[in-house]
Order: sequence, then structure tokens, then C-alpha cells
Amino acid sequence: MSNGKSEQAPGQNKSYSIIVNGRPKEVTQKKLSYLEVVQIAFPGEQPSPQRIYTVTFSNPHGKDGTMVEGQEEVIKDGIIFNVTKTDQS
Amino acid sequence: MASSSMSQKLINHNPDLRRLQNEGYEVECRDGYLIVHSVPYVNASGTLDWGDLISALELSGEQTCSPVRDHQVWFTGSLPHTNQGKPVSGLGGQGEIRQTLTDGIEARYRFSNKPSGGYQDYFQKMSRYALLLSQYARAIDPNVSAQTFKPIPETDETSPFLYVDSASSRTGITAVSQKLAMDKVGIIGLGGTGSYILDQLAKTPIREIHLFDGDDFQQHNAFRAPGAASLQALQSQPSKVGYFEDMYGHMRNGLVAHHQFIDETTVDDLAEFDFVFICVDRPVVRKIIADFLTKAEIPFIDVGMDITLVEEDLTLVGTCRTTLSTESKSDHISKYASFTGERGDDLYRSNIQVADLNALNATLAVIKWKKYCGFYQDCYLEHQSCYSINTHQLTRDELSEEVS
Repeated sequence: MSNGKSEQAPGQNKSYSIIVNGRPKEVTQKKLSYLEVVQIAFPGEQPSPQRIYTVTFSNPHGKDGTMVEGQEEVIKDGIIFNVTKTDQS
Repeated sequence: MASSSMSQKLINHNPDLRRLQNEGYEVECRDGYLIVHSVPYVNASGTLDWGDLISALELSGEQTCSPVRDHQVWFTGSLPHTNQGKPVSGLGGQGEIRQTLTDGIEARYRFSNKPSGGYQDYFQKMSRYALLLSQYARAIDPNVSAQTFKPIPETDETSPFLYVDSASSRTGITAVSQKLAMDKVGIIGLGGTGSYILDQLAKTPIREIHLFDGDDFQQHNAFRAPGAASLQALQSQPSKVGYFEDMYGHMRNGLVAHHQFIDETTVDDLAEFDFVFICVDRPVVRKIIADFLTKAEIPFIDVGMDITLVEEDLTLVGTCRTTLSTESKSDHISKYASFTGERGDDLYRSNIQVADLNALNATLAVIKWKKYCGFYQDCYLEHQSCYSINTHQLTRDELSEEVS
């Protein structure tokens, strides 16, 4: 799914190729907060008690985990986020 | 525990069991075991004693299987000896064990004696083991016998099943399964996930499973429900709870159908429950139920999933969530599940659901419940878990403070 490496050389303007909800994205931040990840997935939406998002992340050779409000995660190439509402049954 | 009437029904239906009873053995069928009580034997000090011989009871429907594939038995007494004071040979020579087979029955020995050709039926099997032990007892006192013709006392009617859980007894985990025997468990919402939760819970010894749903069972529901609904069943336009009550009523008692949704006026109905599964998709309803259960210190699991279509490559992505709340840890729920808002006010809502993910979410919830019951070992006591499809990821969060 990922196109692998960013075309930019590593350095000050390094951007990262990540996947959010199945779609490739490019970001430049070294860290992304819960709120920032939600906004990449759903531009214009704000988490609130009305909208709780389940955020999982996964690295091909690194750590997996989850994020809740107030948490942030170090970004590496290839990191995959899934941002969902998990309220269907 | 099977009732004595269930035990007697099985004995009546099977010539080999009936013959055991007719010839005076104290036969009982209980929890998937065949028990021959009061078999006399000689103990290590050379005196008479009595013990029970127990076999796993393999059934097909209500018929005993022949030939009997498992030639071993358990024994509740001490190590049997001959009237000459030597251990009885031909019993397999395994050492003493302590294995609780089911409520009130603890085995101390496992014997293995296989005649050439095996055992054709349970009469042959149990009468042979009884003879192996009792022949030495009769050498000391010719008046004793395993064939006592004594009536079997009544046992309590507590098993919900219409036929014996031989899956547990065959594998020797009946005592573990009995940890699941809660009195009253509720499933709120019999949609895709709730119906698969029922499918799993129906096969556990929970005494009453209460089903709450106000919807009817319609054609599209059949594609997100366990089993295979017939056209006739759909044409009769059953309620969801009625449909599932009928389906699982083939296997067990104790299903209670409530053709209603839970709201502020009915949430009190959950007051006496031991555990509740919340499988609803309206956040306001989830909040009413979760708040009530938290205050009442009733443990519950809330499930939910979200699947979306990636238009670019026509694939689905998504996550299943399983969140446990217990008497000791309930403060995390609002971090993971939406408690306000309504369906429809969400631009991105897709409501895609797929039966295998419903089943997986249900199974993850039931595994967590079984951990709560002590059926499965639980090292981390996680109260929150997600499965994400495209990364094949299973997470654990909100570990109980005891282990973190």
C-alpha cells in the first residue's frame, strides 16, 4: 500500500510517508498528537464526548499501540494509523 | 449439573446404560460423565473400601457411542490392592492424581485397562473395571458387590442444557467450564455482534441469558447472524429476540426474550444481572446502560466496530473494540466509547458491517468475559482491546493496577 520512502532526502525538510485509514499521507511533523491524527483522518472534525475516536498505530518493525486524548507518537516512515469510531454493533 | 431426570432419561434411552442399572450398578450420568458409585475394593491396609468409577460419556445426540473409543476411567478411591496386599495389576500404573472432574467429584486415580478389541459399549467397560476391583473385595467378604441395586439420590436441577455438555467432559474441563455458570447475563442489542455473542454464550452453563432488542429479524439480518435462517422463518416476521430464543431453545433452557429497547424507564430491569454485554450503536443508549451498570457495580463489556471503504483501492479498513468495565475499574470507559450524540449526525458514518468481523468482535468479548470468570488465565487484566484489520493488530490497554 505504501510507496515506501519519501522522495525527499533525509534532513531538515524530511517528510514521512504514513498511512491513515488505508490511505497514504505525507507529514513533516516528528511527532503527531491524537488530535492531529484524527484531523488527518477526518479533516475538520474535533474529538469530543460526542465523537470518541479509537486510534491504533502500527510500525512494520517497531512498536504497536493505541492513542487516546493527550497522547502523541513519534512518527517514522511506514507508520500506519487507524482512526475509527468503533460504535457499530 | 444434570438433573437426575436427565440422567434417568439417558439411561432409559441406552441399552448399555440401562443394563448397568438393571444389573444393580449405581449408575449416574452427570455433566457428561458416566459414574458407577460404590464399587468395593481392597485398600492398601487390606480392608474393604468403596469408590466411584467414572468414565467420560461420549454421546451422539442422546445415544451412547459404540464401540467406546476411550478405554480409560477415573477412580475416586485410594489405590486398589489385591486381597494379598499387592496393588492390582493391569490398571496402567499411573500415580495418584487430584483432578476435579465436576462439582463434588474429585478423581484420585486414572486407570487404563484395554481388552483386545476394546470395549463394545459402556456396560462392558464399566462392569469390567468394577470386576477388576471388586473381585479382591469379594475374596475378603463374599457379600460385597458393586451391584448394590441401591437407588440414586436426587441431584439438583441446575443445568440449562437439554443435553449434556460432552465437549467439556470428554476433554476433562467440566470443572473449568463451571466457572462460567453465572445466574443472569444480559445481551443488549441482538445485531451482528450481539447475535454472535449469544451464539458463544448459549454453549456455556450460564443459567439465564436475557436478550434485549426491539427490532424484528429481517432478511439482511440473516447475513450478519450465526446459523442459517430459513425462508419460512423470515416470512413469519419474527422479532429478533424471538427468533434467537427459538433457535437456541433447541439446545438450552434459560433464554429470556425482551422485545424492547433499553431506555431510562427500563434500565432498572438490569439491576439483578451478573454481567451485561452492551452491543448497541446509539451513544445515548450506551451511556444510559453504562452509567446504570457502573453505579450498580455490575461488570459489563461494551463492543463496537467501525469499518470504512477506501474508494481508491476498493478495500475495507476498520477496527473492532472490546471494552471491559468491572467493579474495580470503570473510569476508562468514556475514553473509548462515545456517550452522546445520535446516529445520523455524523457525516462520515458508513455503518458497514461484515459478519466475520461481527463474529470476531463477539469472540473477543466472550474471551474477555471468560477471563473475567477465571476460565482463561489473564496475565495483564486488560480492560481495553482493539483489533485493526489492515495491520493485523491486537492491542491491550487499561491494564488493571494490580499488574501494571
